[in-house]
Amino acid sequence: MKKLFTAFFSLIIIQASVFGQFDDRLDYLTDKEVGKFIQPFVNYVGTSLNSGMYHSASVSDVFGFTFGFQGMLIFIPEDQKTFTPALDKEGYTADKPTATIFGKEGAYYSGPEGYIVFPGGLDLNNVPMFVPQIGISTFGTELLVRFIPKISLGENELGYWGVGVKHSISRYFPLPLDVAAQVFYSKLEVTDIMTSKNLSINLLASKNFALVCLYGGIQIESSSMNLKYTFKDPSGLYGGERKIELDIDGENTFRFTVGAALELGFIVLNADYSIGNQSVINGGLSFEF
Amino acid sequence: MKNKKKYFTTAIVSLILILTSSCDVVDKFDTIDLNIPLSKTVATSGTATSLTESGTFCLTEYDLYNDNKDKMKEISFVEASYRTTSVSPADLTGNITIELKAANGQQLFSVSIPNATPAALLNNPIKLALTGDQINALNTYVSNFSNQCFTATISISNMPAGQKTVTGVVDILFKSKVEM
Repeated sequence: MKKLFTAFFSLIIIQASVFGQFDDRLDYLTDKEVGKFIQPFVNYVGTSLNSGMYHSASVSDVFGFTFGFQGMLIFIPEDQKTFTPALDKEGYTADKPTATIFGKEGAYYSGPEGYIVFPGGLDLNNVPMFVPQIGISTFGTELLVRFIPKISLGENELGYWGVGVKHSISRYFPLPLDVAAQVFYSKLEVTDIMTSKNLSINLLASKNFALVCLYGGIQIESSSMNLKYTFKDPSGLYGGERKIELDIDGENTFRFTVGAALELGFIVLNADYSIGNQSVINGGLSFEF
Repeated sequence: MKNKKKYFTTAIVSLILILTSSCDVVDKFDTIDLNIPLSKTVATSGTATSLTESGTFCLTEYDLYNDNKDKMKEISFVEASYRTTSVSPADLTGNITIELKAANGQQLFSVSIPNATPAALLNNPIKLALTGDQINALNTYVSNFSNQCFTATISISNMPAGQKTVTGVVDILFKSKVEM
């Protein structure tokens, strides 16, 4: 058990290091281009942090307690790996796409003032995310809390928290399956670099068959990210170094989820798949009492 | 009990797989591919039918290189181009040759544009077609990180007599892999 917890916390620290480094790539993009470069990352953070909040629509009427970890693997669609820049300089034509943060080759464009250059991306097809969570339920209502204590990333600190409420609907109506509604809000912050705010509202249903619980749901969601970075003007055509701050909304707005949970006494293993702006495989291990 | 152990083992194996995938992600975050553009302006003027002028420049004149040179794992040539920024008289014609030399005088490339009208290249760059050997020479030179300076020479020959000026720019693009 100790090894399992060590492994999970190692994953969270690895994840934290990633958030501490992604901003370095932004330094080479103007405020007009950075949004298109980073958009898939905003979608990824929003999609992942809005994942794995449930593996059953059944909510205890008496008292329930659960804690565990959820791990997500977010698949980056091909069309989110490149973008065509605006190149707001006279005499330049964006005749080829360049990489987004998840793409590969950074493009260059020749024109009357020399080359305008873009940075390369991470060349990733999928990206993981891990979150710990605790739930307490009574009277058909569950309070779900996610929390990662502040982790130092050199000059910056990463912190994450999320809170949500799930309420059983089927406790009011005689239905052949459990139905519940859930709302969840979370905030991920890397000081002086980014703040991501995410909201999701679910309608979910589940049905138990012996040790197995099949579940699914629909979800509307939103994400936004505030970014701060120092533009370094790599082409030398945009007036030199300056600080930039901007807000970007995620394109993750709706998803459909299906999954199954294996209930082995107080241990529950769950896995589900979500189709949305970015598809997600989510797996979790929970201890439920 | 046996089943529980099996599921627990499955969970741990899955974790290791995800951990491996995470390490791969971290590796990718550890490096960044940057394009580094350099430009050297060379002005020629005179009355002779052939004019030649040179200018020296170094990678260290560019912030993008300086900011990253200590973390640079590799650097290689991508593309070079020539453009005219001013020309007089406007209808001037001639053969333009662009040459790049290393700091020690070794020629890295020499590319000619025969029967050129410099005015046609006013802020309209033409890509220089380098041979494989020339690209190799450039890459070999810059791969030694102590080699940071170049001399660009613009020669224009077969021009009519009379006063004339041509100012041209040699643009060179390198790509580099930088450790974050």
